[in-house]
Amino acid sequence: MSVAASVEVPGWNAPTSRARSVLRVGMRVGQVVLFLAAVFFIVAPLGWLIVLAFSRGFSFPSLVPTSFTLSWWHTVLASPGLLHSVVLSVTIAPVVLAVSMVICLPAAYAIGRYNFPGKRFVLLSVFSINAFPRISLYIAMIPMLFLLNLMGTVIGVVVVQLIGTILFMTWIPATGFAAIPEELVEAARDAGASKVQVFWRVLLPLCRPSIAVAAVLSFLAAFDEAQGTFIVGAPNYLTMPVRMYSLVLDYPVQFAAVFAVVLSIPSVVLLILVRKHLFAGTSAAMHLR
Amino acid sequence: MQGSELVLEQVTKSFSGAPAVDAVSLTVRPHEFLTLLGPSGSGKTTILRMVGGFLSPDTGRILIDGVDVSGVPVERRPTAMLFQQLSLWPHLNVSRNVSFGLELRHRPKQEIARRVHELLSVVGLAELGSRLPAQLSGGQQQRVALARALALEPRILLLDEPFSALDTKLRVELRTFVRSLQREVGTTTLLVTHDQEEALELSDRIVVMRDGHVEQVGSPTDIYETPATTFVAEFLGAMNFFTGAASGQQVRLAGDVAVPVDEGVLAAGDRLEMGVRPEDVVLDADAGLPARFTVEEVTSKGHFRALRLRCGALDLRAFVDKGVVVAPGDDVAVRFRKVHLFGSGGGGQVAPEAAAERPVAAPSAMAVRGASGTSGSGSRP
Ligand SMILES: Nc1ncnc2c1ncn2[C@@H]1O[C@H](COP(=O)(O)OP(=O)(O)OP(=O)(O)O)[C@@H](O)[C@H]1O
Ligand SMILES: [Mg+2]
Repeated sequence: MSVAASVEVPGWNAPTSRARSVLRVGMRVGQVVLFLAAVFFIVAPLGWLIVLAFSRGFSFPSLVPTSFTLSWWHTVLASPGLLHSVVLSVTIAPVVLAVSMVICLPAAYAIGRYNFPGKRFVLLSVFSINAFPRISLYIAMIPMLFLLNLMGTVIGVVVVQLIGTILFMTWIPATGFAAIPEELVEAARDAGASKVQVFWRVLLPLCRPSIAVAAVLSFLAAFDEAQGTFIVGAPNYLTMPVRMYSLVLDYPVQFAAVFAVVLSIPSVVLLILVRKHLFAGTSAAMHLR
Repeated sequence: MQGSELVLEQVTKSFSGAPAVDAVSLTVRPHEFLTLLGPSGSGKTTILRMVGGFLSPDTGRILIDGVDVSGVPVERRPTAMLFQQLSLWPHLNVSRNVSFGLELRHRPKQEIARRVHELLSVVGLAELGSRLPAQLSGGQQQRVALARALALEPRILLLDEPFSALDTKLRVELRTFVRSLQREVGTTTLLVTHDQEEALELSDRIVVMRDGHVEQVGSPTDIYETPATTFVAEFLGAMNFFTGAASGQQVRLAGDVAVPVDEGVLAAGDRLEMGVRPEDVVLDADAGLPARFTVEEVTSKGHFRALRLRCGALDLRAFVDKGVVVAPGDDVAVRFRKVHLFGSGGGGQVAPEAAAERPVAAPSAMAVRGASGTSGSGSRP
C-alpha cells in the first residue's frame, strides 16, 4: 500500500510506524491463538481418541494411560456383524451422495442462476429441514415409509440419509453458481457456446470447488447418520455409527474410541482424495472477481 | 479483409418503461472504426449489447451486411465482444481461453495450436500461454481477451470501454495497438467510451450519444470543429458559453460586449448561445474586442497556460502559449479566433435558418472583428 504523503484524508491518520508494529504483533498473536485453538479443539481430541483406543486403563490422577493394549481392537474387529456394518456404511454413503447430487445439483443450478416464482419458498423449505430436530422429521416419515414398504429396506436407509445432505448439496453449490459473473457466461456465448456448452465448460468447472465442499459434507452427513438409519434400517441394516451407538452404552469407553477411529478412516481418505479440488477451487474462486 | 457493414434502423430499447436507446439509426461502414461517445447512461452499452445479441431491440432492426440478425442468437452472430470488466475464464489458462471458441468449432488440434500461438504473439504474450488469468496483470488480461475475441475472426468487433480499467500509460499503449491492428485486419469496429481523447484519437467517425439518442455523427475533426449542439461542444473539449442576442452583424453579450460575426447568418433579435473554445481566445492588443478583460487566475498546465479572465459578468477561460507573460490583475484585450453559435437552449435545432442537424454557426463559424481572414471562412454551406 502506498500512502501519498501530500494527501490529507480528514478523520484518518496514516498509521505511525509504532502503530504499524503493534498491528504486526497483533496479527502474529492472532495467528498463534488460531493455531493453538486448532490444536486444542481438533488435533488434541483426535489424538486423545487414538491414545484411548490403545489404552488398557488409567487411574484417576494420571492424565495419560498407565498401560497399553490391542485387546479393544481385537474385540471390535472380531465382533460379529462388524464386517457387514463396514460394507453397509461404505456402500450406502456413496450411493446417497450420488443420488443427492443428481437431485440437488440441478436445483442448485436453477436457484443460483435463475429467478423463478416460488424460489424463496424452495430455499426456505430446504433450510427448514435443518432447522428442526431431525428425529421429529424421521418419526414423521415413518408412516410414509411404511406405506411405501420401505421400512427395514436399504432404499429406506438411503432415503433417510438423503435428508441430511439436501441442505449442503443445494445451498452451497447454489451460492457457487450465483457467484459466477455474468460476463463469463456472456463471453462464452459470444465465443460460440450454446447454453448447454456454457454449463459444461464454464459454469460447472467454476462451481467445482463449491460442489466438492458440498460433496464432502454430504458424504460425511450420510456416513455418520445414526438416528434415522436405526429407525428405518434396524435390525437388518446396522451401519457403523448405529453399531457404535449401541456399543457406547454397553462397553467401556475405549471400545467406542476404537470405533470412532475406524469411523474416521473413510473421512480422512475422502479429504485426502478431494483436497486438490478443494484447494485448487478456492484459489480460482478467490480470483473470480 | 473481413469487415461487415452494420446498420441500425430506428432501434429502440426500454428498460421498465424508460427508453435507454431511443429510435437510433446508424450505419457503420465496412472496415470502419466507429466510436459511440457519451456520458454515463446514454445508452452506449445497450446499443453494443443489442448488436452482439445479448439484448434484443423492442422495435427497429439491426442488419449485418444487409441481413436482419434479430433471430440470430449470440453464439451464431459474426460479432465478438471485448468486455469492460475483465472476463477471462479463471479456470482455463491463457491458451485455453484463446482456443475456447476454436475448440467449439472442432478445428483440428494443430490448427488450433498454431492459431493460438499466432494470436498470442500478435498481442505480445506468446510466452504466457500456460499461465492462469489470475497470474496476469490487468493489461495482460485485457490483451488475452483481445486475442480471444480475434480468434473468432469476427466481422464486427465490439469494444465496451475495454481500456477503462487500465492505468493511463497502458491504456494509451493498448488502444494504439488496437487501432493499428484494426487497420491491418480491417474488422469493422464499434467502440464504446466516454473518454473523448480516446474517441478523437481512434475513430474514423464518432457518434455522440445523449439520453439514448444520437446527438451528432461525424469525423473527429467535424465534431470538434463544428459541434452541432452545446452538449457536443461541451462534451468534446472545453468551451466558454455566453448568452447573447443577434443585432445586425453582431452578437451582443452581457455587459454590452459586442462580437462581430459574418453577415447573412443572423436574424436580428435572435437569442443565442455563443461558444468559444479556450484555445481560440487570443490575447491581442491591436485587434481585440472593444471590452477589456481582467486576468483573475493563471494556471500552468505544462505545455500551455490556462487563464481565467473576467469582464463584468463575463467569465472567460483561455488557453495560451506558455511563453505569454501575464499575471493576475493584468488588463488584456482579447480576440476570438473562432466562435460557435447555437440557438438558445443549446439545442442547435433552433438555429436560425439552419437544418435540424446543423449548428447555428457556420461550420468554421464566424470570424471575429478584424480577423475574418484568420478563420478562413464564415460562409455557410
Ligand atoms: N439491464 C438493465 N436493466 C435496467 N436498466 C438498464 C439495464 N441496462 C441499462 N439500463 C439503463 O439504460 C440506460 C443506458 O444504459 P447503458 O448501460 O447503455 O449506458 P452507457 O452509455 O453504457 O453508460 P456507461 O458509460 O455508464 O457504461 C441507463 O439509464 C441504465 O440505467
Ligand atoms: Mg456502458
